[in-house]
Amino acid sequence: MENRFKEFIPPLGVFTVGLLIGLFVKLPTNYIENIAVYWLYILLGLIGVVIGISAKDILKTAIRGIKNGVLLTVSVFIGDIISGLVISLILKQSLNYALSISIGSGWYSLIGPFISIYNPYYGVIGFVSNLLREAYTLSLYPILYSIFGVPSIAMGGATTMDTSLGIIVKYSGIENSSSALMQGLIITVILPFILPFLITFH
Amino acid sequence: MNLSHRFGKNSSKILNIILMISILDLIFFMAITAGEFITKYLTSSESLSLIYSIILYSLLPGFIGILIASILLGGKNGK
Repeated sequence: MENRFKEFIPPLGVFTVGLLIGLFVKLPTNYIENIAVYWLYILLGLIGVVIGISAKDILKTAIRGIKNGVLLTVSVFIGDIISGLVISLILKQSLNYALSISIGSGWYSLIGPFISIYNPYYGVIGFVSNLLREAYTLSLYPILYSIFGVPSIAMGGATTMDTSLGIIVKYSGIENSSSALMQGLIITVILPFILPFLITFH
Repeated sequence: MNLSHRFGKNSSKILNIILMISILDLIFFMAITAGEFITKYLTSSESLSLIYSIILYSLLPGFIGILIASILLGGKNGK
């Protein structure tokens, strides 16, 4: 348990330090975002190497991975819809905006600009909350995986095929990469079709 | 990750270290970006309801998703 605790400290510590710097130090946002994007490219390249090396192992578990990936996607959507309904009731917000923000599944670059077209206030909430969901996935995944196991991939939502794939592979093993990729891919394909219906939903 | 049988012990160790550094760097810069956006929009008059909304929308969907996935997948290891 002590060793596992040691694994949780670096991601959480780095997240806390980064968040505090972002909150209290004035930095050029565009520059920082670009650096994050370049690190994402490096990480994706490394994940490509790891997947390439372990291709045989992945193929052995591919069918199980795809099955889990589909179930995880269903869970993500059910979780997002329930959350949207609950938050809409708690904060007395319009159901269409609440559902559109919660179904974003961490895809802040789509949700923020899309909702801003209809309502800038909800656009900001959609952007920041989905950005934080991605950041929470990156920093909390080691703890969540030790408690919940494979179902913790659902936390990542749409980000499990790119941004959070690295941390999922690192902590839950290469055999779960196909589940994560499947979940991210299905959500990324479906979400742009669902959003226009949700935003006009009354 | 056990890659040593395919990649050699030293090389896999180096790959794991580089992977960890990239993950931590990505977390760091994502957190800075999130922090900057939060401060940018917290100056408005509706900042309190904005904070509640951001906290709930960023945490609740993910955690409910995990709980439902635990039921659908039937445990920690999945189907």
